[in-house]
Amino acid sequence: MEVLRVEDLRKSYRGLEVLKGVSFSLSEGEILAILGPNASGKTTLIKSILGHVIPDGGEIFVMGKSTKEGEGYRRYIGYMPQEPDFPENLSVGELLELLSSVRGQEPSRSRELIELFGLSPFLDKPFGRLSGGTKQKVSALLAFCFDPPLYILDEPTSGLDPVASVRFKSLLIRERERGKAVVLTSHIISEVQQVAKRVLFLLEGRVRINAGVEELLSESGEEELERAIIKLLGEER
Amino acid sequence: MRLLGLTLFDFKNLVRIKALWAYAFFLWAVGGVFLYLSGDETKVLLSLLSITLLIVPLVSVLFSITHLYDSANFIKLLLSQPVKRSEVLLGKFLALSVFLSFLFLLGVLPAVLRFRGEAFLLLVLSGFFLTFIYTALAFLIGVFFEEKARGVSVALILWLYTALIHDGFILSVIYLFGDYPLERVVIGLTLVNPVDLARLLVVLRTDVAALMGLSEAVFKEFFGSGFGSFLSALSLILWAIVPLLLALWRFRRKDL
Repeated sequence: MEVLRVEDLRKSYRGLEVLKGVSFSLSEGEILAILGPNASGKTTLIKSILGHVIPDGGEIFVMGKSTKEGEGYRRYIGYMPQEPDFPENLSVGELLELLSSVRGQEPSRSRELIELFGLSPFLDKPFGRLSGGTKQKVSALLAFCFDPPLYILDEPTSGLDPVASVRFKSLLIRERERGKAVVLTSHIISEVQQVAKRVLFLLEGRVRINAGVEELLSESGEEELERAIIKLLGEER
Repeated sequence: MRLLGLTLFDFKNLVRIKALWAYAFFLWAVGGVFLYLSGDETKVLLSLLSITLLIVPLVSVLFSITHLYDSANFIKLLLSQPVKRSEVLLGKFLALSVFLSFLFLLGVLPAVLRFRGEAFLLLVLSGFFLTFIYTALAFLIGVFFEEKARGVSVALILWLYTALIHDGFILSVIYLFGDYPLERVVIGLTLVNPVDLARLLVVLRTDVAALMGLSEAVFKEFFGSGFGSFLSALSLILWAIVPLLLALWRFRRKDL
């Protein structure tokens, strides 16, 4: 089943075209890595899916619902931002309560995730007293606990310690096996190779590569995804 | 229901910011000093009014705008949930303006309880109005300017102008064009400044209106104290609603 479809997405900022007709789709059980150099349009693409940026043209469908129909589609999304930033004086428990009330859903997986990331001792502590890594774990908890069909993860492992990072990647693979769809951005391409099934490479606002990881490796004859991408881009030129 | 949930969540966060309680304590201490130095109702009222007209706009506009900028990332997280943009912004506005109004009330409560007059109730009301207005103005500035430094500077200039410079401007107009009938001009210039309107709301109901300045005297003469108070209250309500609606309008169309 198709979870996400982006059709001819266009966006300009003050006359500068950032997305020049991006199209792709994502089915359940797929992990898609969005890659590209700085200013390639990755962030704008993710922001458009979340509704933070209002596209100039094109359309986005999440679980068959157009994002133009209002904010209701966001109940199908679990989002993990690059830099978790929460109100300093409130606790994880209070934030879970708020999100649960605005989504009208119970955080059905919170217990399992709290255990996985070892968050129990921090539940009642104000965010201002949590370390960067712990905040990132809380951010993961918030994204996954409502069990939505689509996860959007922006540099998810950037603040995690090695142990948490390994656990997080195992969690992603389990989610993929459970039929969840994941959109992921990361600077660490080796990490992408471990979890992602497909790569969407953006360059100057256009999709340059939209292919499976295995396919990319076999086509290029390389063992590393990073080299495969460089080789394919080089051949195109 | 979602709006109420968002408002209460923000409210909980604000209640725990210790620095904000200093605002109530400051007003409370100043009110206490005025009460100690003079037992005269009018003197205490006018002293507290002067402090209110200066401090309430400053604290409201400055705290609200910095709070809004500092919450930018969290607002984005909230807007990744099935919530309307207007609900998130309105929830923040209500939490801030209601809590700052509550702190103001706490600060002036000793004087209000001591005299229990209509004028003191109007002082409380004008403090509430100023809090809502300057919070709304802070939100308007915040959604129009991306950069925090620029937004805060604009907010400070706005405060400086409305709380201090505008009266000087009215005086200059009177001084330069004293030979012409200026009543309508003065009324117009008063209506465009919420601080002057808040002052009017309180002084029109006291005996000192004519002593306070030309705008108060003109208002009393033109509209009488009853209608004058009504007109200033109505203008104050518009001053809170219009910037808030503009901020909501802009926020709903903005790229975050």
